Amino acid sequence: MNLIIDKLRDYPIAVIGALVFVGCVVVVFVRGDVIADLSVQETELIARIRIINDNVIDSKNLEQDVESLLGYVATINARLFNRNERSINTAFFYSYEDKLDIIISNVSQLTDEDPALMKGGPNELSLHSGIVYEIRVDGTFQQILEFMYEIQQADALMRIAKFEVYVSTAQGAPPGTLSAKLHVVVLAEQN
Amino acid sequence: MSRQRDIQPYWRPDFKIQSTLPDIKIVRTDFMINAIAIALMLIAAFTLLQSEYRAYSLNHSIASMEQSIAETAVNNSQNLQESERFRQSAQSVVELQVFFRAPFTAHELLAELARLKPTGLIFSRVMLSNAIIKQKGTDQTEAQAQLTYEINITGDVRELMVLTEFKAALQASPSLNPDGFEVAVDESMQQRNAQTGITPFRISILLTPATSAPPSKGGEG
Repeated sequence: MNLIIDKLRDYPIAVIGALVFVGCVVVVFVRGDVIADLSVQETELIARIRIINDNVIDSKNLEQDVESLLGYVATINARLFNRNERSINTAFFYSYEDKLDIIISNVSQLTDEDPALMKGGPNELSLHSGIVYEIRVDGTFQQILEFMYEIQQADALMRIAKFEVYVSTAQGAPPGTLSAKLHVVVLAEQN
Repeated sequence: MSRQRDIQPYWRPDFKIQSTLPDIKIVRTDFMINAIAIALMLIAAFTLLQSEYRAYSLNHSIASMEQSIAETAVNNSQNLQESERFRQSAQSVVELQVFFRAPFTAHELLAELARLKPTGLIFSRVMLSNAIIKQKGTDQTEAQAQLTYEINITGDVRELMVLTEFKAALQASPSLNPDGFEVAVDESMQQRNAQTGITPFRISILLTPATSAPPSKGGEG
């Protein structure tokens, strides 16, 4: 203690300076974590503000886009088949007989779904489902081709997944008559 | 006076008592020590002030940003809700695209085959079928289910060269070579009917999803 007092007497400025130095170092050391925490907080807030600004840019005209999109969705939903309305659905396909002057010998709704549209399939659907119809048609090449085209262009959402067109073997069929077996997948409401 | 000062040496060649002489150094020791101590103090004080100012600036900036976030929170929440509505609505449209995803439509394929069919070739059956295969993924990706398509044409031909021409036409047709698929055209024939000279044939067109080539390492001229 005496030594310190002696030194303080000999070098008062140096001792006070040293004490201030030590005090400052201690404060800087103690408050170092505070600055690090504040820096992290600032970085997070900057990131949040950037996201909010991006959201503002991305949301430009979003409301109109959503309304427009909902219109499309409503149109899609209106065109979906209801798998429980079997007679209505089957009648839809038979209606092409009059339109195209072809003979539809059979329309059957298959119990198995298209595996491509099922869970794990390459065209997996989650909001909708697919109903598969096997349709047998007899007619000329032009008529069958036209029927296939009309199926693809129908208001109801459907496509031909598989087909087989062959020379008709039916008795009494005029020459040039072809038969076709089509697997038509129709987009339907979810089960 | 210190004890050292009282000690009288027995012999002093220059007759001087060193401790009683005045300090004639250019820079005195007291000055050096004080200067170093003050310099260290100033450095420490400057560092402290700088860090405190930094903390003050950060606090001010954080408060400002938090206020800004609070002001835009409602608007941002609405934007996020709209975005979620958009995403859900878009899912329906995306599924529609997925549903119709195919390398060709059936009627276009049949019309194309009819267009390519040369005179002298008779189709007795045309068939389109598909099958699901699992493409092996890389280490990072799982095996992915994909669709392959097979077109089978059976019929009769009298001149075999016509069949060769037809096969070449099939291979060259853009409609039968869709992007993203590898196409293999194969033909087989049965025994020729000796009486009519007609040869039954079968052409098989297999479309498999193209496997993406591994990325080039570069560095080639």
